[in-house]
Amino acid sequence: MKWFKEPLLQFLLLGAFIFVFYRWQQPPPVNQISVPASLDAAAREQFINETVLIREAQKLGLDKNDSIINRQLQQKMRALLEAAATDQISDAELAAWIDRQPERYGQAPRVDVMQRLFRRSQHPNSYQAAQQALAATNNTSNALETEAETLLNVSQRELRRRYGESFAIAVFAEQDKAWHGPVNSGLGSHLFKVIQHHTAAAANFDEVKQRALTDWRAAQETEAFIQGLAERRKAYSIINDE
Amino acid sequence: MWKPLMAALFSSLLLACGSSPKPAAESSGEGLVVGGNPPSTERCSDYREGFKNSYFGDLHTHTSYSLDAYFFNALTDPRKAHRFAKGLDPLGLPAQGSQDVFTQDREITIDRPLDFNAVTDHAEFLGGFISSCDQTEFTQQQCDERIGQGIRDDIRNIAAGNVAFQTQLLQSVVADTPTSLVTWNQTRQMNDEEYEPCNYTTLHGYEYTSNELSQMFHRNVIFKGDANQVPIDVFPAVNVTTAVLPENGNDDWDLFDHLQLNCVMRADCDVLTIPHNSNRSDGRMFLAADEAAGKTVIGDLSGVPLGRKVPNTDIYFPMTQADAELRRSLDRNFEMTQHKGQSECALGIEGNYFANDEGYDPGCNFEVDASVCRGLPSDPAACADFCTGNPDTDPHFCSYNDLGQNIVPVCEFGGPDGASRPAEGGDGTGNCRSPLDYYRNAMVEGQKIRQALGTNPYKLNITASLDTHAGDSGFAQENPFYGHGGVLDDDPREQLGFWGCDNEATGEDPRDLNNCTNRTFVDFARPLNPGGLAGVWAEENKREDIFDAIHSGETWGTSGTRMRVRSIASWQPLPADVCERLGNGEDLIASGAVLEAAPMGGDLPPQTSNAGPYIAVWAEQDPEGAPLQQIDLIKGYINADDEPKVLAINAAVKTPHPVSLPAKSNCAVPVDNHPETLCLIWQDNDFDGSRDAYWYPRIREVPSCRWSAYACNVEKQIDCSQLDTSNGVFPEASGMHGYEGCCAISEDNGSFSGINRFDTIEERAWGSPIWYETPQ
Repeated sequence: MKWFKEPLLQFLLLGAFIFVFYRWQQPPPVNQISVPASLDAAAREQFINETVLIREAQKLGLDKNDSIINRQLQQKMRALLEAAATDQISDAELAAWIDRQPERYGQAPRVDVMQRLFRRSQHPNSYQAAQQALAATNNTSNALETEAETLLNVSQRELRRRYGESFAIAVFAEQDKAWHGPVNSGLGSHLFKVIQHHTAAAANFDEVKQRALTDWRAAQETEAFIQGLAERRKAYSIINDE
Repeated sequence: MWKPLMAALFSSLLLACGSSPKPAAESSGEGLVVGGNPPSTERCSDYREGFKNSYFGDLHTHTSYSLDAYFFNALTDPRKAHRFAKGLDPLGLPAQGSQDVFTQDREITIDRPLDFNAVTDHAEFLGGFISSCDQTEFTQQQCDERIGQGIRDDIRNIAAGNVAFQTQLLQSVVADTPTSLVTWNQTRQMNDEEYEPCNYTTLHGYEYTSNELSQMFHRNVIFKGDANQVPIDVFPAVNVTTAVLPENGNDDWDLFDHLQLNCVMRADCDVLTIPHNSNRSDGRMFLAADEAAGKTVIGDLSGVPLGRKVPNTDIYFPMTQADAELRRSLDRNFEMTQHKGQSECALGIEGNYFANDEGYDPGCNFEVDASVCRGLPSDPAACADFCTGNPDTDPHFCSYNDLGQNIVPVCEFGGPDGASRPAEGGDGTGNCRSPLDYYRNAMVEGQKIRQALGTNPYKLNITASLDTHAGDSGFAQENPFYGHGGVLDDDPREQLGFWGCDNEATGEDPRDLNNCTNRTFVDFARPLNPGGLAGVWAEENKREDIFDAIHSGETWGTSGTRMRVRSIASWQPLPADVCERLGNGEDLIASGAVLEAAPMGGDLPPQTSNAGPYIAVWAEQDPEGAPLQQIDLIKGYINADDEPKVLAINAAVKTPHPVSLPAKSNCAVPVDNHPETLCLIWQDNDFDGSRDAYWYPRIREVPSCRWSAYACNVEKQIDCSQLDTSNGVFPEASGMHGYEGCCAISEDNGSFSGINRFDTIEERAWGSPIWYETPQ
């Protein structure tokens, strides 16, 4: 049986096999329509007519450069790539995933702060008034503090709702525990003194579990899509059209 | 055949008022929702005993679960709306100017997060399209080609609200489908999952979208509890008999009966309704006392409006005391402004209600929807003070002239079932505007009705919302404004208006006057605006607190700004520091600091002396917005002749500095040391304790740019002298094509010319009234 080990023969046999296999696999010839037996007469007619129209359109290449078909092909492919995502996660893994995103699931960081607002309606030049008050402040004088409003345990969002974005950002960015400012908002000019920052507290797993699970699944699908797309792109060389 | 049918299917719902949604995790699919939120009994960090906090939200959003919105931006769902409103995730939009609603091309992020939000998809055919069309790519394509494109192409009819009989028939057939059960279940599940007590409150809700001959008779239904405490299905205004037996002009009673039976009478359910767009109801939302509107009436209509009718007939009963109480028990709050304009008052439509000598209220010049003023000599007299021909100060409606679709006549009277509809209105649809379309007139008409029925059936407090159909809850900013109709109005051409012909699909050209049937300026979107926000005073940002605030009326509505407002009234003089304490959120009545008093939205106790009440109004500007200009106080009352009257005390307190317009080149608002807070302490010295009255504040900012000014004067420097004189269209080469709506265009013997407009607005807030009802 030495002849059987002849590579050329093996190659030919393999080719023949592939040819037969694919021949067997191929759809019926394009001019043949096989109709499901379950259809009644009217549906059968419609099925045949639709199939004829589709095949004829394909022959003419009408499916090429069709924006709707292209969009649907993209959608199908995206769904196929997304389907590769894992959809099971243990509570422990989910908890770890949640912990990695404290800004999304955790309790927001908070601050204790004193502030003094020089209202525009009370000071013709509120910025200057605030500047002067700040300049008059020193370690022995606490004139600012006696008139200040103390806000305890407020989040940046709460501070923004009350006094605007520029003030909220300035307070949360300030580590130094002395009087600072003025910072302008629509209301006037603010001086402030951070008492202390409270770092973000961890998320309560039971409270955020459902929300996180929905997010995690969406994230897995997006990740699977991005990876799948990147892998498939490797097979293409890109040239710039003139 | 069914393309035009389905296209028109939307006419009655759209302006009234994607991608497949992934079923919510662990949703049971139908029936009861599993899960829900853990009870949040702990106090929030901002809780202060004896004080309330102010929160901002939106109570009116449509997503792709709404039958119309699905074909405008199919990328949204309630979860995405919530996450956008939280500032957590951007929201996907289709490409600008595209008609492909399924492909995301842009992302928007909310300027400032909301504190609370209610997604209110249309109950009618809720989720019907997203459920059936998003099954496969094939069905999505078929739906979009056969229905969606038809709707988008038929915008002229949709904007006009034309509904053919066969359309109504089809609408009836598809109205009751099981899809609403599944979709409502998904909505509730998402609402519960996105609820974060103390940080972001979601309320369950839907819109009941009743229409008759394009009279909008719409209400948002808002529930108090968690998903398992609200009814398992929505209640639509359209049913299988609607086309042949149209009861839509009278089906408010069906909704009230349904809610009473399915919620109010249940131990764990509570609900309220928020009427909106009375400005498009042709006098139908608030019917006048004594007005039979040509209908047969069984009984005595003296002092009362029409009530229920004999089913399937045109025979009416007068409103009963029980029904007045039923309506009042559910209708608790009113949407003062939204995407389709404000419903407080309108120029030239004051009727006999207005008591001021000048006969009109300049404060009504704000986001008036379709207008009776249009800059022509034939306008009502009140219009002349606004349409002076000065493009820098004239409101935008002064450039309507004979153009466009936003011109309406005044109704002769208001009536149900389209009864107020004249044969042919200015907009070609037979619609009209009635004085009772506007809040302040309707409230005092209700006080008149109270004389006969013992209850003011129209008594409503005030919020405002967006009514977006693109899922972007709370996106109320003027710049940039991408429209709230998804692909319908997301580019300047659609927003500002454009020349159109009836048969452009078959080759007609709006630029060629000889080849353009019914050439008109298609400007359905010109009066649209970014909408408003709701403000509430509540102890904590939790469902029960937010709902209770809306129910009791310690609320206000804004035109999108985050101005804060609070008021109080008492028979006794108010403390000198009352405004500061109002602004701090102090509960002055509960603590006993102010006696014999009512908070905003509340009733004054019986009068204890002959003097009129003291009223205090505190307002603080948006810390990220423009300064305040003035507080107006609006008083409604029954006068000595027993007539319902409205008095506008404009600028009861105002900035001490001269007010100027924003800069034309960049829309910068001069601060000019205008105040950031205003305080009004006022006593009503013209008060008669034997007659009902109400007082509500309207607070205006200094002028700022309207969205259209940003589009025309800042984003593009439009030069209207470059319009082609032969057709009123900008030549392509000018780079301004599509911006024709920036110009006040006029035509003289076939020659077109245009002058630049500069649209400014006074952003504002309306506080809930303080009410006085005579003891009975």
